[in-house]
Amino acid sequence: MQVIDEFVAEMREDTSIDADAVDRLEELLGRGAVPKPEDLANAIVGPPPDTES
Amino acid sequence: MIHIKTVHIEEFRGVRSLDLDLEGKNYGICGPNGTGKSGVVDAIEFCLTGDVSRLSGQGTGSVSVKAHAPHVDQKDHPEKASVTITADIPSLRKSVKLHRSVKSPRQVDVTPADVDVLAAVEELQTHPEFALSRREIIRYIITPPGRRSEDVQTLLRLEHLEKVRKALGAFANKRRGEADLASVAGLAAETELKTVLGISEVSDDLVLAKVNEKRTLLGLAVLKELGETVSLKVDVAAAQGEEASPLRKTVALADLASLESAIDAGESPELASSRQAAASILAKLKDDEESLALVLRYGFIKTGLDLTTEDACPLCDKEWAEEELREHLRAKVRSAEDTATVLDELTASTKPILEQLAGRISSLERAVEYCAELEPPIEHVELSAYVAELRRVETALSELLKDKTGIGPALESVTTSWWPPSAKRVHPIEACRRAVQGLPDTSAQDQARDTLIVAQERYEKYLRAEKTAAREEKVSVTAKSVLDHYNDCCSRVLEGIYDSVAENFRKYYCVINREDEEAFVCKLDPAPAKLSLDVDFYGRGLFPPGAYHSEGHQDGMGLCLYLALMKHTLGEKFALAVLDDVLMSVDAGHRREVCRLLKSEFPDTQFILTTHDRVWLRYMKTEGLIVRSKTFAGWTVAAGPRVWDDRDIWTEILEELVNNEVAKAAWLLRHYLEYTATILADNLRARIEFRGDGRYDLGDLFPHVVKEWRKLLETGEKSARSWERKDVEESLASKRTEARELIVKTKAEEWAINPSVHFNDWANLQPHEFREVADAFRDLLESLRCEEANCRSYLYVSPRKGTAEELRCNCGATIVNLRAWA
Repeated sequence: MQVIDEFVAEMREDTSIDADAVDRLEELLGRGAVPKPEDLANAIVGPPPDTES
Repeated sequence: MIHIKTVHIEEFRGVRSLDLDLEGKNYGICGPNGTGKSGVVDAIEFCLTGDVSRLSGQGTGSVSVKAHAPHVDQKDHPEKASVTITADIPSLRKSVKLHRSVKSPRQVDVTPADVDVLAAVEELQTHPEFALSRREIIRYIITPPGRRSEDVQTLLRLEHLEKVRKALGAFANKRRGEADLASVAGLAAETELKTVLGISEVSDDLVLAKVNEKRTLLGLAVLKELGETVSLKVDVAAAQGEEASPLRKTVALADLASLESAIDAGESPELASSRQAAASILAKLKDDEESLALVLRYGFIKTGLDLTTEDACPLCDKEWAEEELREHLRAKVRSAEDTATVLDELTASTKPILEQLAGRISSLERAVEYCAELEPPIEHVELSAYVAELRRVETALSELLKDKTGIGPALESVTTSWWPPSAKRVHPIEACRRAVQGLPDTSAQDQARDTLIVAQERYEKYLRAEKTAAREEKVSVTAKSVLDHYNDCCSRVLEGIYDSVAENFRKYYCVINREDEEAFVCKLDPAPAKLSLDVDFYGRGLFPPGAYHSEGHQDGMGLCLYLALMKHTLGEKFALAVLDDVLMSVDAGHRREVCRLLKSEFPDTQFILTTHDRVWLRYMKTEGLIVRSKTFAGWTVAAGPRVWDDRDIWTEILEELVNNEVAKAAWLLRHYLEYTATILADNLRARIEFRGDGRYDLGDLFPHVVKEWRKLLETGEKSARSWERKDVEESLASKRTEARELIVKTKAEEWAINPSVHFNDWANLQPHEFREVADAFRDLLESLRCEEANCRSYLYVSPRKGTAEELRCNCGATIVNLRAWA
């Protein structure tokens, strides 16, 4: 968990990464499972437009 | 974690039926190779985890627990193979009984089945590394950095970090590829927009100028800016009040003219150069398939190079001169690295071809559409076949970027002449252009209107493609940044963990090698996907452990690193370790220190140690590491291990005397004292006359041991007096008086001057007379031990060389200062 905490903190300082993406990544990695590619896509890119609401 | 009290093994591996009574304490199992020691380790591992790593790990092939854990004579009756363990769970202050049968290896019967007990048993199954063989322990030391990283991270429960790293890495690579493809699509859309507007490049000024030129012609308001919400054709339909034609003559002619012009221009120098470069590389790789195979086996060969430590191939054991094999592998690695560079060049030359292909395919598909929309339609089978051929080329090259083994189709794609189409294939384009030219002429206004309508479509497509390309590029860059941040954090956090592990590793290693490597330092250096271990070699610098250290030192390092890792992972829960012959090559001088390390640094851990070396077992007992043990004297397939219970020596002597077997009792005492005197002479730094053959009998050793013992107590007294420690001085004086009396009883100091009391004549004594001698030696030896019940180690002088500073025990409860106030 220490890695995740530091990882999230470091990403928050990186202005090139959207804050929302960091939030989603934090939530995803916090689940403890190895993330699947589609989950990473949702976290980094954001949810598909049709589910955005 | 648990402390094992008893183990009952039934029809398991090489054991028919065996009971071990450990009493929750450290335990030794000794026996020659092939007598069933490891079978006991397997049984314990099986009962606690349901698995036997020797039967299920890497390289075990078709061997399995269910099929091969039962005794060979019960291989068809797995229900008869079982292990039962009773144990204490210190953290719960509860006892538990575990029973597991090979018939249902995943099911363990737990009594009592309390929730907390079940949780503790469950936790055991997640830490199978409590059982460790020499083969496993050495892998932490003599292993490639990549493999060590995996093994160590598994033991530290950090493998999840590596899996997440791989997931992020795969995602970043995938998004890089998608960004490249989006960039190619953007270029194609840009070309289409340039064609319809007749501009040389896409810029807001040029597009606006061309669009406004058409709008002015139509009498429409000029546009001041471009954007997603701005329509190039705004008011166009309303001004004309007509339905748009599906085929717009002017636009179609421009598209067809552009295509024909591109075809006439032939292959561009850039494309020709890229295609030739790709063809040349692919042909070379195809001719030299071994090079490509080397690239694919690059990691394997590198691993082989790291594993080459003796005169044989590490994979197949084929004999090689070590240096010759290393050079052979290095040459392959160099060749593979050269080929890897070539593959990078191949990727660089393929991308421009794909970009050009995308534009050409898009233009041709539009021409096919025009052919179909004309009335009557133009025959375009040949043109469609050309499009299909280019699509095949595009697919082959795209696949090549993903998998470098697809050389055949890719090579064919870049060597065959597909760029300039044949006359037969060009013909439909010419026919289409003529047919479009034959359509009724349109007014300048109509042409302007058509241009604006198509330009709007293509501008929208261009904007979408640009947006997609920008988005994909941003995602790719973000994915790379995320990966970089993760790698940074992993390395930083792991460095902290590894620093802590390395510090304990160094500390433990110094304990067992304090005589010759007291200033030992080491470095665990983590990097993504690898963990380098470098150790100091007598102050000459840091090197891989296998570089200069002896096998015995490497064994010691393996144990120390394992203990440091377990300490970090389990902390106070590190209650059980089963070490299967892990220190077989450690020399005698260091074995005692290993015993002291385990006893002093891990007092709450129950160690079950197997060894094929009886001297090792004796060391463990002498140093107080183990109290109980079991010795296997032989093994048969029908009966299993032949067990010899290693009972207390004084009990054995007494039993012989009860049976009036004085000679046997004397033999036992003499051999035990000879062995113990060796230990004590070493511990107390007794001055023994040197013998070149190294054969010392009891008379050579024991008198000097007791003499040194009295001298040390006297030195301690003098020291206490100089420090004005009256209490210590009196205590030591009392101890010295007691020692003198005990030594007198043994008559050991009289051996040289009074033959009638010599140990050679013990066999002639009456049982009650010999009993007095045996009791005297027992009492004397007991007085040389630490009085602390949990220690009971023989006292020893520290340091082992140079000026004697203190007389001490393993636990530190007894420390006699030997240095006087200066």
